[in-house]
This record gives sequence, structure tokens and C-alpha cells, in this order.
Amino acid sequence: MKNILFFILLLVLYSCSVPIDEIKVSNSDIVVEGWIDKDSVAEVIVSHSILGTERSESSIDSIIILDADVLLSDGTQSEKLTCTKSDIYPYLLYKGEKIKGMSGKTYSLSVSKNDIKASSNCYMYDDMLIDSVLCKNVGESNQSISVYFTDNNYANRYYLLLVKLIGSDYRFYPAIMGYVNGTQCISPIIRVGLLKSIRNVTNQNENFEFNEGDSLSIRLTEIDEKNYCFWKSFFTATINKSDPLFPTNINIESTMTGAMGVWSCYSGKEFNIKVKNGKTM
Amino acid sequence: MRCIYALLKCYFCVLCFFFTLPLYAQVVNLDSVVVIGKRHPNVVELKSLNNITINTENSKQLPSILGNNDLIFISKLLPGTATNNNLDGGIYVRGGETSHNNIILNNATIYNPFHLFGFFSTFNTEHIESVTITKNAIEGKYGNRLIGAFDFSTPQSKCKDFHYNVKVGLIDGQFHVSGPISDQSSIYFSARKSYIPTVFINASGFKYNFDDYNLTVVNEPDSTNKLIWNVYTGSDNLVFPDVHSGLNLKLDWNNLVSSLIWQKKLKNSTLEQTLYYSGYMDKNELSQFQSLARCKFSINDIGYKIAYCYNKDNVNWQIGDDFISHHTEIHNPLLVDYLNVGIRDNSNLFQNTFENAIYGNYIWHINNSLRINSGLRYCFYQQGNFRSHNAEPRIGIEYKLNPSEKINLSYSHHYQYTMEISLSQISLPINYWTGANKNFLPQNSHLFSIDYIKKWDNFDLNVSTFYNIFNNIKEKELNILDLLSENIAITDGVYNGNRKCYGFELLFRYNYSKFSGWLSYTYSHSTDKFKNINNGFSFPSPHNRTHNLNVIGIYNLSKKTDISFNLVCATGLPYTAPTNIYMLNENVVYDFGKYNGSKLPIYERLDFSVNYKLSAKQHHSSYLNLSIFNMLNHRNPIAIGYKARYHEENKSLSVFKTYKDYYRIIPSISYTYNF
Repeated sequence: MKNILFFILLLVLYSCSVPIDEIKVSNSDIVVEGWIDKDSVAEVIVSHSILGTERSESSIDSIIILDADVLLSDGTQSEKLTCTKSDIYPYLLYKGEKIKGMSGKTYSLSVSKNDIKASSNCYMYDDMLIDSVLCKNVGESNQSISVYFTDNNYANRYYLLLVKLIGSDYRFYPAIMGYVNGTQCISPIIRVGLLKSIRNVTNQNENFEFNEGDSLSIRLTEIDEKNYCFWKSFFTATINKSDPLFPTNINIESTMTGAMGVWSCYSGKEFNIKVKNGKTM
Repeated sequence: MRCIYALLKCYFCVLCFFFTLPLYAQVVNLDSVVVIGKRHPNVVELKSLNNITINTENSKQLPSILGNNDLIFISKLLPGTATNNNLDGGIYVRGGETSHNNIILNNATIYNPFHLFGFFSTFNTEHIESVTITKNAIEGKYGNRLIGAFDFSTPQSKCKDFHYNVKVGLIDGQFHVSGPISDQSSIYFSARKSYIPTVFINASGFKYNFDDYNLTVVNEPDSTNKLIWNVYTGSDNLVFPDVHSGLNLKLDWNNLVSSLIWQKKLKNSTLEQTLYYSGYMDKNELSQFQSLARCKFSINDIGYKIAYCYNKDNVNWQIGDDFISHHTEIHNPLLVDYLNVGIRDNSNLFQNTFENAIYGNYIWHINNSLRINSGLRYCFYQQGNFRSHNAEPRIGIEYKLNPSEKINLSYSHHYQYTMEISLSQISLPINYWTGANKNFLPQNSHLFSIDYIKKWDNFDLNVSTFYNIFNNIKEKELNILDLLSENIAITDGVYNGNRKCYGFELLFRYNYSKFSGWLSYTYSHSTDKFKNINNGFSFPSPHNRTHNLNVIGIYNLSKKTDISFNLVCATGLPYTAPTNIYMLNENVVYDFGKYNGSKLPIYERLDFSVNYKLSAKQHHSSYLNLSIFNMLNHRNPIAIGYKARYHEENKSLSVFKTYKDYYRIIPSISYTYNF
């Protein structure tokens, strides 16, 4: 009996362990997330990457870079964006005043902070129109929503579906898997599933489908290939990043040169709906 | 620091084990009157570390998992076979993948030998007599795979009386019957079925069921002829919802294998012929959000084997032929109701392939100390217009230093024409087997090993070093969203690459009258090189563990009680870790570093088991088994990530590391009744 107790004691001692940190994080980089909507001014968030430790607490002010030089040009005029408070996370962003998004123009963004310089261009396409939206019940209150649109020149185009939950979202967000590569389609009438966007920092809700009664504003915009690759890699990396069954370790394809992130031009007319089972709008 | 800590812990385990050994030895002396000279039966028998046999009956004393003493699970406690991560049932021998081993049941291949993420294999222990693990196959009969074979045998002889066995565990029940059906014939039948949805995975909606049926008939019409007919069928159904990623899996897979063996004894020789059928099919449904893809795969083999062995005095040779016809059906994923893509190209691939190998082995007894085993296997392969034929030379040199000490040198060359392409990094049946063609070049390997064996009365020491080269191995790079949203063929994105693996293995066995077990250690270094992965630079192989230590002990506490334990301590598996974490679109996203450049935390596990005989009478016996898997509840994560939370009240962001491990401690109890 003494031997067994002794053995158990040794096992208990053995079970003690020290925390082991495996991930070594490199020096932080600049991250740019900017967009310009049609008829609106540009908005740009400039931040730096976060150190990955067991647990870290940072104030938002320490993550956002407040003293970067952010310049926007539409080919004919340019302006310096200023850092202001905002209603949307992270509540501090760079905003323009005079240059507004117009179809047919290319917008150049450049961001500089100390020795780091980053830049990107995007083109604002003509408005895409949504033909109709169909809601179908898939759960107790969850709705499967299909968005239909028609484009005869679909073969060489890329599209992105943006969505805003009226009453709670302050801006449009790209919908999960709302990116479409026209070469994958087989007819001009294209159907795209509409889901919420993934926002795992501010919105912990893991249900990505809309509920009956939700009021939505939807926009369909044409994007360039660079932007398509960014959003495709972004959703692939975000959705399955910790999935042990099908692990994904792809890096997001930045549209910026010299920094991580994305600079996007979004056109498209708003299409407002109230989600209701079996309803076509 | 991490390595020093790990080594200290390993040292501590070994010390702990050996420190307790003399205490038990003291008890042995007191009981010596009762157990006069009787040694504990060995669980493992071996000629060298290249050829290990596990005896089913003796293995029942080892800790079981969920009431099952699984032979493949036990094989992972031996040197050279890497410890698996949670959810992964694969067999990774000396740098090879699971599909690089031929899993054979009575001469017929089993394509998917796993149930439930590898907790059990498809082999019902009650129905299997033994398994022989061959890592560097010199014998010509072992072919078609890059490494060797796991050769499972059902009972090969008649039985005199009827014997029944009923086992009731937490999630499954088993029934086994064996007995004579005539003077010349005996029958063995086993059934195993799960009856409770598994409760240890904390995921709502998780469902899993499996069943196995084995039938073996042995017929001996006279002393020179024997017929063995074996049938195995088993099926699995899994529903696995992952709430975090929104991914739902519905997987069905089943095996059907039947073989008929005719063994004829001639003067100084034996002739064995086998006719077999081996079928495997899996049907998968993967859905994520509004996308749904259905995949299907099946392979059907018909094979014939003939082997003639001559053994007289010092003259031993063998010749044989091995023919297989494969019919495979690979379905491209059928995209159901996905909205971006109209109709996916749903053309299916049908393949008819043929493999025929002739082989011969000759053992040269040069003198009393030196023996050379030479072999040659020549294989012909055809799929449509694609033909390939290759020689596979093999040689083994055995030199006895003295009666208790010997050295073996082995080299073998292998070709594998039928290969597995897996879509998941763990051994989920989301995969397909394809024959070699101009796009999928045949895989080949060169295996070198040097073994040293030393025996004492109660101990033996086996040491082996190995160096394996694998050419044209396959890796599929496909992320699940592509499968669900892109119009792609299932055969796209398969890369050819090479692997090199070298290492060192040690097995130290001990066998006192009441105490037995072994200590095994493996050092392994394995690297892959693929043109399309990691910019063409070499990177650590995904299942390589640098250090792998197992300590196994079985102790007869009393006439009624056995206790046993196995302790596993292994370096974490390589994975691609984030080097930078940043925020985009209100999400935490990563920038990944070097491919497989980091390692998961050290894998540690202690399993413990008690077997208690409730009754042991002449015609019936019963016993109770209590097993605890991962007794110390050690966390062995299979994935590491980060999460972030925004706190509105103080406008701060907390970022914390997350470890994904699906299960830790698993206690189980089972009751067995024999009559």
C-alpha cells in the first residue's frame, strides 16, 4: 500500500507543469484599413499589429496610430486626412473632408509613419443594381437570404456584397462569402447568399444568419481582382483559422504596398429590406 | 529551457518508474512460492525493431481506452510509431504517413482501419490473434506500400469447445463466439456495436455510431490442407458540428473485406494461395453557412496471392506472385445550392488499375554467425496507357556476436502505385485513393536500418537507427472554403514532394515474475520538400515528433488483480504559427510565419488500468476493467489561436491565446463475461 501511495505521490509531482509559450511574435507592422463609399468621404483606420502573448490588455488608443500622415488623391486633387473620433470601432479614424467617391475615378491612398510608407489604389466602378432578395426560413427564426442580380459582362468581373443591420451598424460590412468571381458563374443571372459579416472582436454573436424582423441595407459593388483576393483570403483565414479539422494557415493578401491591410472603393445602390420568411423583395 | 524541462520530466518519469521497481521486486520475493518460475507473458515479441508482433491475449492487461484494448493504439506505444494528437488516429511509422503502411487482415488490404478519430481500430481484439508490424520489409510478400505492413491475423486453427465472450463498455458492446461446427471445421464470430452517443466531446449535435462484424471459418480436411475463410464488415456514421467555424460534417464510411486462404503443407515446403476482395467506400457531406458540398469515393479490389516456401535445414527460400485489380470511383464534390456558382463540374473519375508483382526471397546461411536474407520484388503496374514496372531489391544481413547478441543491417526499396490523397490533416475519411498516372507519379522509398539486439534473463535491449528517403509523396493543399465555393476538381492542388527521415529507436523490455513492461524511446528528424509549399524550401514533416518516450508497466498485484500504466511524453507536433496578430474588419487576423516552423506544447499522457477478476471458474469467468485515459488530465492541444475581446467600459482590447483540445481525461469501465 505504501508503495502505491508513493507512486501516486510521484505522479502528482509529475503532473506539475510550467506554462510554455510557443509563439514568438515579430516586430509590429502598420495595418491600414480604409474605404471610400460613393458620395462619401474616405475613412481610414491606421493601427499596428498586436503582440501575441498568453493574455494582453491594451487600450484602443495604444493600438491606433494617431500621428500618421494619411494622404488621399483622386488624380486631380488631394487632401490630408485627419484623425478624428468616430462612432464605429475603433472609435478613432482618419477622415477626409472634400474628396468624395465618384464612379469612374481612381483613388490613391498613401500612409506614412516615420520611415514606413504604404500606398494603394482603387477604382470606383459604376453602380451595380440588385434585382431582388428572397428570404427562406432555415431555423427557428434564422433566415437564408438570397440576393439576385443580373450582369451580362459577368465573366471578367468581381463582386462584393456589403450589408448593414439598420439600427445597430454604423457602416456597411462585407458579408461572409459575399465575394463572387464572375468566371465561376455560368449565366448573367447570379444568386449570392447573404450572411452577416464576421466581427469577432465587437460582435461575439456566433450566429451568422439574419433573423426574421431584421432590417437590412444591402449593397452590391464591383471590385477589382486585388480586392477580391483580399476578401477571399480574409474570410478563409478568419473562418477556419483555428479549425483543427481543416486548418488554414494562409496569409491574407494585402492590397497595400508596404503595409498589411486593404484600401477599397465601394459603389452600389442601397437596397433596404425587412427580413420575412418566404418574402421576395 | 523548454527542452531541458521536457528532458527533466522524462528523466523524472523513468526515475519514478525504476524507483518503484525494487519495491515491487521485494513483493515478488515474498510471493515466489506461489508463482514458481513463471514469467509474465510478453505483450510484444520481436525479431528486431523492424519486425514486432503484438499478442492479443497478453495485450489485454494494458490500459484500454473506452473499454477497448486496441492493437493499433498499443502499436503507438512502441518505438518508431509516433504518438498521435487528439482526434488523429493515423499511423506514422518512421516518417511515413498512414497510407504508406499496408494494413492487412488475413492477406486482404483494409483501406480505412479507424473508428472514431483513432480511438479504436476496426480490428476487434477478441477476433484477432496477433498483429505483426513490419517497418523495413525484406520479405517480398510485403509490397505496394512505402514502409511495410501491419499484418493482422485471425485464429488460424480449429478449436475444441464452444467459447463465448460478452463485453459491455461505456459506449459499445461486444460479443464473440468460437466453436467447432464439425470435426474438420471451426467458426469464429465477433460483433461490436456502439449504442450510446459519445458524450466526451463537448459539442452539441455530435453523433457517432459504428459497428463491426467478423466471421472466420477454419476448415482442416486433413493434416496437409487448411482453408481459412474470413469476412469483415464495418461501418461508421459521424455528424460533427463545429460551432466555432460553422462547419458541419456528415461522414459515412464502411469496409467490406473477404479472403479465402488455402494452405497446403508439402514435404519441406508450404504453398499458400489467397483470393480476396477488399472494398471501401466513404460518403461525405460538408457544409459551412449556406454552402454544401457532397463528396463520394469508393475503391474495390480483387486480388490473388500465391506463395511457395521451402524450408529444409539451412535452405530457406520463397517465391510468390501478388496480383491486384483496383476499381476506383472518385466523385468531384457536388456543390448543392451554393449561390455563387451555377453548376459544378460533376464529372467523375473512374479508374481501373492493375498491379502484379512477382517476388523471391533466399536466406543464405553463410555460417553459424552470419545469415543473409536477400529478396527481390518486381512489380508491373498499368492504368490505361500509363504503365510502370520497377524492381524492388531488399537485403538483410544478420550477424550473431554471441548467443545473446546480434546485429542486423537492412535495406529495402519500395514502390507504391495506389496512393491516398487526404483533404484533412487528421485521419478523417475525407480522402480518396488514386492509382498512379502521369499526374500522380508512383511513390517510392529507400529504407535503411541497423539494429542491435542484446538479451539478458529478464531484460532485453533493442536499438535501431534508420534513414528513410521518400520520393514523390503527395500533399494536397486545399482549404475548405474553396471546396465549398469554387468550381474545382478534387484532383487539383496535389503536389509532389520528397521526404527524408532519420532517427534512432530504443526498446528496453523487462519481465520479472510479476512485473513486466517496456520503455521505448524514439528520436526522429523528418523534413519535407515540395516545390509549391514554403517557396520550395524544406520544412518539418507534419507528423514528426523529435522525441517520443513511452513507459509501460504491468503488475500482478494479486491473483485477482492486475494493474498497468502507460506514460507517453513526446515533443509537440510542428505547426505554422502566427508571427503577427492584427485587427482588420473588427477581427483578429494572423500573419503566419515559417511553414511548420513552430511546435505545439509537449504531449503528455498517463493512462492507468485495473483488471479485477470477479470470478474464475472452470466454465466461466468474469472480470471488470477500469481504465483512465490521460489520468492527469493533461492538456494536449491540437491547435493554438488567438481571440480578442473589446471592453466598452474602458475602451480596451484584450487578446488571449486559445488552445483547442477536444478531450482530456477519459475514464471508462467495462465488464467481460466468458463462458
